[in-house]
Amino acid sequence: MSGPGLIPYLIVGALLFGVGVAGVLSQRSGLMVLMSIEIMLNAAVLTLIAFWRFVGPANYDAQVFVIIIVTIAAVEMAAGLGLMLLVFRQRGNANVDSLKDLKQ
Amino acid sequence: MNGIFEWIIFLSLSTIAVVTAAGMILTMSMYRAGLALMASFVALAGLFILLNADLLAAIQIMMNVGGMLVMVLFMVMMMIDPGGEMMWGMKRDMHMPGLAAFSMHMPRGKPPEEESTQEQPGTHQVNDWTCPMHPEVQQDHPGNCPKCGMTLMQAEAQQSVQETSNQSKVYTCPMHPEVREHQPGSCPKCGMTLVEAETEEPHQADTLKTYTCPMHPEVQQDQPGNCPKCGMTLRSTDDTSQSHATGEHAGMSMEQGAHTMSGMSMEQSGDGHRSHDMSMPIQASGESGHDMNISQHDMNMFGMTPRQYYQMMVDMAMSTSQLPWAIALGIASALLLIVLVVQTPWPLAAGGPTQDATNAVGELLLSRYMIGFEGAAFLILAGIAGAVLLGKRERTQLQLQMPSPEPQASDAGEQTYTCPMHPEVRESRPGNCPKCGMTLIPAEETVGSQHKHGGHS
Repeated sequence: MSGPGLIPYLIVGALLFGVGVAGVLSQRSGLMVLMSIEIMLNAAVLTLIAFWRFVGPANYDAQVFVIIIVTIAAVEMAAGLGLMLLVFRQRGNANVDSLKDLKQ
Repeated sequence: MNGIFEWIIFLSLSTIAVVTAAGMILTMSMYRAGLALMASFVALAGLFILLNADLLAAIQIMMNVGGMLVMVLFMVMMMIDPGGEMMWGMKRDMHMPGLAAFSMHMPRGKPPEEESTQEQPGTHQVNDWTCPMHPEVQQDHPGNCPKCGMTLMQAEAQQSVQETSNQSKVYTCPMHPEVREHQPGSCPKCGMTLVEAETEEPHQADTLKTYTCPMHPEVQQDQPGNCPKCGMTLRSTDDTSQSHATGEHAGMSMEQGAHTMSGMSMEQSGDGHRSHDMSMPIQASGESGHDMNISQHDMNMFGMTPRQYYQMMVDMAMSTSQLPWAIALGIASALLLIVLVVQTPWPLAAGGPTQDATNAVGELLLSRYMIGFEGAAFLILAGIAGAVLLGKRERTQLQLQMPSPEPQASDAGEQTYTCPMHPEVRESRPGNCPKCGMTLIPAEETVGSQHKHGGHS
């Protein structure tokens, strides 16, 4: 019996993406929204690695692509956290609902 | 045998990755949410190893998990109730078992009316907060006026004075007391909304009130705001004592008429599992009777009116009231993706990776993708620069908000103009305040009028 193939990994990636979508749509805190976006990015990363492993294992470009995605995710996390920290210091909370200055 | 072993590891890691990610959006504690996400990342790194991508697993651990660790530390430092102990205690006191004990969501439905205070003649809605300068601004919780930034005061204080004084109403400008009109409107000098001439007294009486936290009675302060311990909106002591006095009456009306508590009942399905939401739409009479009792018990326990209880739930909720829809959309998108990946005939390769991944990826990075990495480095630098600039702007704003000791421009012979509501705004020519839009007035006039009135802000 062989191990799991491409489809099981893709299914896990799809499930993680769905969890991320639900988090982005439902959370009030900006930090939680950022964390949900991280879940979606990781789902994309898992899918990419699964494709590399089962479709083109001889070509390592996919891994480089994954490294860039992980780097951007870390940047997003750092910049987002900095922004949310600033928002929290100014307003006393980091809720997305309170970020509507342009509306006024 | 090797395949079965791989399947076991795969299923274990996949379950951990998905369940912890789902737990992240359901938990009531941001600290635990961060830890759950870290667990999900680690499980994903395990899956990467299973896919022969060791280098990426190491990067995943170092960058994502390390990043999340920093995020969790920040959460502990800056978030209200980061560990969720307060919410957990509330759920425990409410005897909420199962999944409901882990989550706190925005109550659905319209906020309940303050029925007990409306029915009594001579009293008014205690939760109406309005601006002394802009009576059209009304909201159900304390805060600052969105127009001029002044602290909102309770409408009750203003209205009680309106009832006790039977004199003919005279409207005056808070900044120009010589302006007296018989009709409400704007000040001809500065454009501010006119207020009744006697509204100074309730303002002073309002300052004598004390405000306390529904959850922490030891917190007492003389102005509205948020509790320093839990961040909830403070209630005036009059409010609290009134709610204690009318709690029994409110409870009776809840038992008699379920409609008065729509949005407050807690849904309970037939098999005894309570739903995640703290409050649900109105149920059938048989079930709702039990639920009403729970709500009533909870409110009596916290000494709250339905409105205050609702407001507390809104303050403490981690997610919006649309969580069920969000979950449904998430499931739908996941199912759609699964159908797509299963239906598509992927051209699978026969063998596995042939080269040493670390060397191969390193060579590729240096030879072909350096520009991509430089772009990522540029993004990092841009993020840092943006954070520094924003921090600098914040410091400048703080310096502006600090009161200046004395106006100094007059001795130079130049006239400066300032906003009656924002003395820190100084302009060399007339115009409108950049913060509230009011007409700027000469600086000396503001100082004089503030001395006359004793200052509002």
